[in-house]
Amino acid sequence: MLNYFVMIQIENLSKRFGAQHALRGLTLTIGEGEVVALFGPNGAGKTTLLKILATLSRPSDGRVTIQGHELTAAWTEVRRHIGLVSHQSFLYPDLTAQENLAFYARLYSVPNAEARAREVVGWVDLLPRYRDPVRAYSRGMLQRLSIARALLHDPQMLLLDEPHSGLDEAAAERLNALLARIHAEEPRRITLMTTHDLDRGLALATRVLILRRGRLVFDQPRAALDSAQWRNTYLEQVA
Amino acid sequence: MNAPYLRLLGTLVWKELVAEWRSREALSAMFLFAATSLLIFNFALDLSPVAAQDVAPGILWVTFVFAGLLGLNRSFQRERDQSSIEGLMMAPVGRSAIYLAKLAGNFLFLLVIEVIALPIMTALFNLALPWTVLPVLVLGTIGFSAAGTIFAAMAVNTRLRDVLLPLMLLPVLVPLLIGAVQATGAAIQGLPLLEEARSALALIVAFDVIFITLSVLLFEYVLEQ
Repeated sequence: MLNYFVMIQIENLSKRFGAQHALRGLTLTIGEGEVVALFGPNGAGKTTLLKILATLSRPSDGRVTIQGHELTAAWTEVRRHIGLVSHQSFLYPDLTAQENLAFYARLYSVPNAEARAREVVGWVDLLPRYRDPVRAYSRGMLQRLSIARALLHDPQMLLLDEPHSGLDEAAAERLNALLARIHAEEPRRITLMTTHDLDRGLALATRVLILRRGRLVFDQPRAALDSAQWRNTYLEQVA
Repeated sequence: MNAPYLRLLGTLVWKELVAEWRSREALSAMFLFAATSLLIFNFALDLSPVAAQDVAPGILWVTFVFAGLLGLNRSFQRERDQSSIEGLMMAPVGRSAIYLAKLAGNFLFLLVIEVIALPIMTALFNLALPWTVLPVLVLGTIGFSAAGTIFAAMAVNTRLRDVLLPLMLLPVLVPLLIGAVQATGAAIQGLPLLEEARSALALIVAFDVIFITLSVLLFEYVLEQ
């Protein structure tokens, strides 16, 4: 019996690219407020899973339900509940941060768009650069603005695809602190993050998953894991 | 098309125009190509005013099609730089709105180049261009942009996109160009278009309607590939 409101229900999900199986019969339930860190080696299917949940890719088999809406039957409704931070920012370099956020706010019909844009830019500490063209931003700033963009429409599900990649140590630490703060501000929001950074991923997570060759091979609450043994546990699972 | 759909469409077109205005990458490349082509044609063909009337429709459309190809390539390259197209695909926006906004952007950029290139053509070839050329250019440019936008979306994720786009698009454009060159020729010679170029105009309009309809229906699948 689940003791939380189910937000994502994945049943027997498979994804094939020709003869290649990226996901094989994945079954998973994620409830509100969970911060899920999804680990796995390259090619394990992490990004494929995120792309399916983000409605950017269609499943080959299986069923995905988000907030009670079946993914393939209610794309438009599901999209209102999702924010994705990917390797790329989805922002237009020639537009300012303000213009980029105004553009996305209009696409999502965000009420009081300017006030909301300022609010989320404030969360990521970029208000002083709000009117600068995005092409003048550093990689770390771009990643933070990308998070602001993903949170603009107040999604109930935040998907992060390797958010630490390409960031230096200081920027990665700052990003972790930001993600923790964002979760504290809206504790019911689901955060699902793929990462290769074992320590930073674990530091944020309330639940830890490991994918290997498209299968879920590990699923534990963070509280049940021993931080000191975590690296060994991971290596055993993906060996 | 209801009011919210038109508002979304307006937002998407606004983004196309502002992003291009800031960089002017497509417009400047298209203008340079068009101006240089017209200049080269002028030097290469030593024409009397009568002969100029005969070759002008071909010169105009060759120039506009190749200038337009430069703009089409850039149009989707902009979406690829930061994978912005995925940001659009994730938004609760119909795929048809994304296509129509791209089409509108490509159409307007090429129209701007045409409006600038026509006086250059007039001056270089000592040729009077009547106003009836304009509706032909508009209809032809709609067809070029309709077909070009969907083929540019198909080509953008391939390694050989710069080569692939003209290879795929140019054969498809043949009926449109036949109609456009015939109708432009009739307009330049001062003939009444609806009488002398009725079939050419019908061909252009049919091409426009077919490509816009097909592209609106198919764009979703093109994006997901």
